[in-house]
Amino acid sequence: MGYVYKAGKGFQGVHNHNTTGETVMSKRILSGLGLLLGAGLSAGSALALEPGDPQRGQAAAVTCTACHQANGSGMNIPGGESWPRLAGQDAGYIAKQLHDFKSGRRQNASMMPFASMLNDQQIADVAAYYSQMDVTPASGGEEASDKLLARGEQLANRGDWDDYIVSCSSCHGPGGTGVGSDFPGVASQHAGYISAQLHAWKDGERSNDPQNLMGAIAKRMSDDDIAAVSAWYANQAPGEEGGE
Amino acid sequence: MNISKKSLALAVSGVSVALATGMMAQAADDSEQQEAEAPYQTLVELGYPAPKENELVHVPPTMADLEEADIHPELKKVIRRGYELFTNTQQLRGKHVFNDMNCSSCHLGEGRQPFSAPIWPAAVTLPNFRGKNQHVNNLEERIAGCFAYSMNGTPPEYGSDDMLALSAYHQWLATGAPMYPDQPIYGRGFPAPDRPEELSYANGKAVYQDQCVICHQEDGSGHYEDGEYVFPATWGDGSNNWGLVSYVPTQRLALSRTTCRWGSRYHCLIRTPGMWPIT
Ligand code: HEC
Ligand code: HEC
Ligand code: HEC
Ligand code: HEC
Repeated sequence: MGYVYKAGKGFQGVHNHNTTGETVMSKRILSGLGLLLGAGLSAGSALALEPGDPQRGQAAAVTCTACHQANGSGMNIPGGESWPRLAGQDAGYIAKQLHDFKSGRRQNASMMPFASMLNDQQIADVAAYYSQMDVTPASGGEEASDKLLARGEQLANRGDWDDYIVSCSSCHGPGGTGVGSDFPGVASQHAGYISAQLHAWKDGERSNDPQNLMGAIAKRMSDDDIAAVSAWYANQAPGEEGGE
Repeated sequence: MNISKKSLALAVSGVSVALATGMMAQAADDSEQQEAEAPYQTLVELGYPAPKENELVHVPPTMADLEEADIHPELKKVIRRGYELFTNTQQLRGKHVFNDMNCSSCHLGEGRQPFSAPIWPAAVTLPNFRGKNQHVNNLEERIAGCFAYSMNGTPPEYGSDDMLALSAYHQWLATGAPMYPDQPIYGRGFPAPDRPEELSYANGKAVYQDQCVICHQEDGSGHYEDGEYVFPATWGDGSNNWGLVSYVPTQRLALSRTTCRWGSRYHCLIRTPGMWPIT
C-alpha cells in the first residue's frame, strides 16, 4: 500500500510512528479494537458531550485504519467496495454520517458495526481527528477519456439544464471542496466511492440527505454522467481549484 | 418532420418536436432519434406544463453547437464573450454590476431554460413597444433594463463591445426561431406562483426554518466564499433587492410557491409548497 502520509495540522508529533507498513498497521488495529471495545463498555452515553478532541479521536480511530488508512485516505477499490477518504472532511459532516450509520438512517454492512462501536463522544472525537488531516489524493479517474472528463467537468461546474441537473459546485462549493457541515467535499474523493454513492441515491438505497437535495439530482443522472463526474472529481488533486 | 439545416423552431401539434438542430450539425441518423424524444420532456416529468397545441417551442443551441456552427470565427468569439458575460457577470462588478448576481442566476440554464425567463424570445420579439417605458425598445435596451433593475447596476453603453457580445449571445440562442412569431412562446418568462388563500407569517417562518436555513442561514445572511456567494443573502445589499421588492410589497422575506420566481435554480428543483411573500 503506497500512500503519501501527511500528518494532520497541529499534532504531527503524535503519530510520527504510524507511517506505512502493513504489519505495524494490523497490530495497531488489534490493540485499537480492544481499546475501543473497552472504552465503549465503560463510557456511558449519559455523559455530557465535550467538543471533539483529535487526540482522543486518534485512539478511537485505530480500528478504522484497516479501511480508511492511517492518513485517512481511504482507498479506491475497482470492482469492489471503495473506502472513502475521510481526511480533511468536515467534522460535522463526519459525525452526522456516523450517527446515521448507527441509527440505520444510512445503511452499509461494512461500516455499520464500526459506527455502532462508537459512543457520542467518540464520534465527536474521531470526526475532529479526521477533519484536521490534510486532504489526500484520490484514484479511480486515471483512465478516463478526455471526453468523459469534459462531461464530468461540465456537470461539476455548470450542470446540464437539458436534464435539469444543477451543477455540483453550486452545493458542494467552488471546486467541490465542501460548504459547511451539510455539503461535504467531493473533490479528491475516490471515483469508486463517488459513483457508489450516486448510484445508491439513484436506486433509493441512500436517503439520509437533508431535504432530498442530493437524491433529487442523482435520480436525473445517467450511468455515464455518474462515471464522468466521479472520474473528474477523483482527478482534482487537493489544494487545486477544481473550477474553470 | 424533415429537419434540414435551416428548419428550426416550429409550431407544435401535440407533443411533436421543433429542434434547433441547424447548428447541431449532426449526422442525419441522429435527427431521427432526437425526433423520437419530445424536447423538455424532463421538465414535463418534473411537473411543468407540456407545450400546448399552438405554442412556439424552440430549443436554443448550446455552446457545443456553437463550436460546430458554420459561422465566422470572429462572430463565434463575440458570442462566446457574450456567454461568458452572461454566466459570469460578476466580472463587471463595480463597473456595471453592483450586487452579487449573474444574469444566469435568474435566467437559468445559461438563459436557455423554459419557465426561467429564457432570453431568446427578446431577440425575436424586439424591437417592439413596451408599456413599461412607453416607447419602442430594441434588444440592447431590454438588456440594459436588466442591468439597471436586476443587477442594481448601470448598463454597458449601447454599441460597446460588451453590449454587442451580450446581444449576439441572445440572438445566437434564437437561431432558427421565427422573427415576430404570431404564436405564444412556450415557457417564456417566469411562472407566476399561486397566491395562497391565507397568508401567515408563522407558516412562512416555519417553512424557512425547515427548508431554507441549510443554505441561506438562520438570519438570511447566506454563505460567501472569497466574497462570492455560494448561497446568497436573501435580503440586504448583495441581494437582488429590486427584484424582490417588485414582487414583494414589503422588504421582509420573499417566499413564493415556486421560488423560481426569484431565479434560484434550487428553488425550481425543490418546488417549495405553499410559500408566498409576506410581511
Ligand atoms: C471494513 C472496512 C471499514 C472499517 C474498518 C471502517 N469503515 Fe468507515 N466506511 C467503510 C465503507 C465501505 C464506507 C462507505 C459506506 C457506504 O458505501 O455507504 C465507509 C464510510 C464511512 C464514513 C462516511 C464517509 C462519507 O464521506 O460519507 C465515515 C464517516 C466512516 N466510514 C468512518 C469510519 C470510522 C470512524 C471507522 C472506525 C471506527 C470506520 N469508518 C471503519 C468501511 C470501513
Ligand atoms: C442541491 C444541493 C446539491 C447538489 C446540486 C449536489 N449535491 Fe451532492 N450532496 C448534497 C448534500 C446535502 C449531501 C450530503 C448528504 C448527507 O448529509 O448525507 C451530498 C452528498 C454527496 C456525496 C456523498 C459524499 C460522501 O462523502 O458520502 C456525493 C458523492 C455527492 N454529493 C456528489 C455530488 C455530485 C457529483 C453532484 C453533481 C452532479 C452533486 N453532488 C450535486 C447536496 C447536493
Ligand atoms: C434578479 C433576477 C434577474 C437577473 C439577475 C437578470 N434578469 Fe433578466 N429578467 C428578469 C425578469 C424577472 C424578467 C422578466 C421575465 C418575465 O417577463 O416574466 C427578465 C427578462 C429579461 C429579458 C427579456 C426576456 C423575454 O422574454 O423577452 C432579457 C433579454 C433579459 N432579462 C436579459 C438579462 C440579462 C442580459 C441579464 C444580466 C445582465 C439579466 N437579464 C439579469 C430577472 C433577472
Ligand atoms: C440548496 C441550497 C438552497 C436552498 C435549500 C434554498 N436556496 Fe435560496 N438560493 C440558493 C442559491 C444558490 C441562490 C442564488 C441563485 C442562483 O445562483 O441560482 C438562491 C437565491 C435565493 C433568493 C434570491 C436572493 C437574491 O439575492 O435575490 C431568495 C429570496 C431565496 N433564495 C429564498 C429561498 C427560500 C425562501 C428558500 C426555502 C424555501 C430557499 N431559498 C432555499 C440556494 C438555496
